[in-house]
Amino acid sequence: MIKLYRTIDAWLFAWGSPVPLGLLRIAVGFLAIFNQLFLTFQYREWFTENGFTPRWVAILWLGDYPKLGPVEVPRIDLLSHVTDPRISFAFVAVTVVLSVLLMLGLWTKPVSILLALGITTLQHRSPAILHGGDTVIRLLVIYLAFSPCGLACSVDRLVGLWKGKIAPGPVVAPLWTQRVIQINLAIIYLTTVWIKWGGSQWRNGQATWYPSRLQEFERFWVPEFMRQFPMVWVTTYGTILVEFAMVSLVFYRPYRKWILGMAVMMHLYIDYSMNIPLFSWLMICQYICFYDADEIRGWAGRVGQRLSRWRMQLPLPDQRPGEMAAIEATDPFDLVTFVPGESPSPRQMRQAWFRSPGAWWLPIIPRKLKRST
Amino acid sequence: MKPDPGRRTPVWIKVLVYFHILCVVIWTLPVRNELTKPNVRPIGTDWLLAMNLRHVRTQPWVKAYLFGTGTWQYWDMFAPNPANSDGYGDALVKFKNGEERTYWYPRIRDVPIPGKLPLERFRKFFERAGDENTAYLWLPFARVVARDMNKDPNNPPVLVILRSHRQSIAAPGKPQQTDYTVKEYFRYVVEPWMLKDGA
Repeated sequence: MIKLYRTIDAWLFAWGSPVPLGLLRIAVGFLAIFNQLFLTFQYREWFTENGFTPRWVAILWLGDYPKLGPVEVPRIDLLSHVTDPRISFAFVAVTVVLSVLLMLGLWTKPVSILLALGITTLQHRSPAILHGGDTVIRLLVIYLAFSPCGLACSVDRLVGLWKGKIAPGPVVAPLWTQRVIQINLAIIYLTTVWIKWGGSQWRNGQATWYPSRLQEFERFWVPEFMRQFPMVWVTTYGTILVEFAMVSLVFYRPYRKWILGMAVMMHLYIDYSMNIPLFSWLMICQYICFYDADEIRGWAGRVGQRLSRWRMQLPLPDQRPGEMAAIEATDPFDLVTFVPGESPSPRQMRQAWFRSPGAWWLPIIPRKLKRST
Repeated sequence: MKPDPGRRTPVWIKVLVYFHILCVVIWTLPVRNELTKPNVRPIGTDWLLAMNLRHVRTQPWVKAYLFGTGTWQYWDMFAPNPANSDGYGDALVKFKNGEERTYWYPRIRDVPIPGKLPLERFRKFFERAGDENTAYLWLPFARVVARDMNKDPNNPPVLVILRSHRQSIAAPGKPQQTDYTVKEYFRYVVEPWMLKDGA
């Protein structure tokens, strides 16, 4: 028992590179932009006293504050006394800006904390409109706020490298937030598959017959055979099997990529065929957490090898170490080697832009291109 | 990932993480109301669910922690059984001069594909607002309809009737229903003060 605890403890509280968390941050920030933009356009309906859900609806929906003895524990709700629609609009709009900053990884720590507070506030302000994607996005931004996600794949890191405040090379940070995200993901699938197994239609293989006929969920065209037997059996039992595997076999490394691959296919089919906003994409992007940074770097290296015939050298003047470290940090596939020399020609720049994000930001650094012939 | 022996996670963080995971598991385990009855003898894994429901989930610290931190969650997508009825809502509005008009509430089926995602929240809201258990959502719903339809000060809306249109999905092998059943579930006599600016 103690050995099991030590194994779990070592896994849960390992330290390592936060690259997977950085990539997850980019994906969550990107998806949050859409989610919050939709809400911004509908702020009148969902966040004002003249909308469908005035404040008192939230109070009735969520009930009294939970109590610990005589003490009431309040919910996170920065809009709890706000009735001015202009403030509500500004609040929702700010969460869009924060989502952009989170995606970029700029001022990541304060931004992620503010976004977690903002999204949680909005969900507590109007809980009657929440769908599964909202809950996932709230949990992810809260977890990211506690994580070192700004230490990798972020503007913060590039600025630090540029100014010489961060040493080039891998960063080491605590990874418990990455593990908690993995565990929470497994809990989602465990709960869902457990409740489903208690339902007669999932057991008799007919469950997916019904959602595929709900016109209000229709999205893109689906061939008729996908809505008929035997595909209904395949999709019903396939869903149960994949969800159960996402709780169990996915943690066994040799099976991991196959299980994740099947889960990705399941979610992509759901997203294609049914109008369930962002949920599938939010679930898929969390699968990054099942990989560690070495595996991701290895994959990028293999991709770079396959694309090796596209490798090129780009001459750059004035190569200061920090600046070069920052530029090279944005070249994941290592397709462009920056060598000392005169400014690159426009043709070389065009070629580099297609090969490496490292070349994208050269035009905004005039010193790098100023000495052009 | 190898643990770095030179780095240790503080004990208080470890305790908090284990506590968090415990609370999430307790809160998200399936809730079967029949298991809350003391005379029901659970079998197999239901025993675990019954123990959780009767003795653990009801502990105030679980709810206080999850709602206090915003990490509450529940996962019952298409479970225990998927919905077997399709539905959408609209409203019939009667005006002072006796005229009747239908208020268009977003119906996802008829929305072009680019608009489906942003408007999905309206479907979700109607799914909940059409439920007897959340009847308190009907009044603000009807008030929005009245305000939106108040275009002519000389001919304001006087009555809003919320309607649901439902169609059952028949089981495999049975004839599918093609018509929708219309139900008027809430009548709102418009309060004139509510139509004024700033109300």
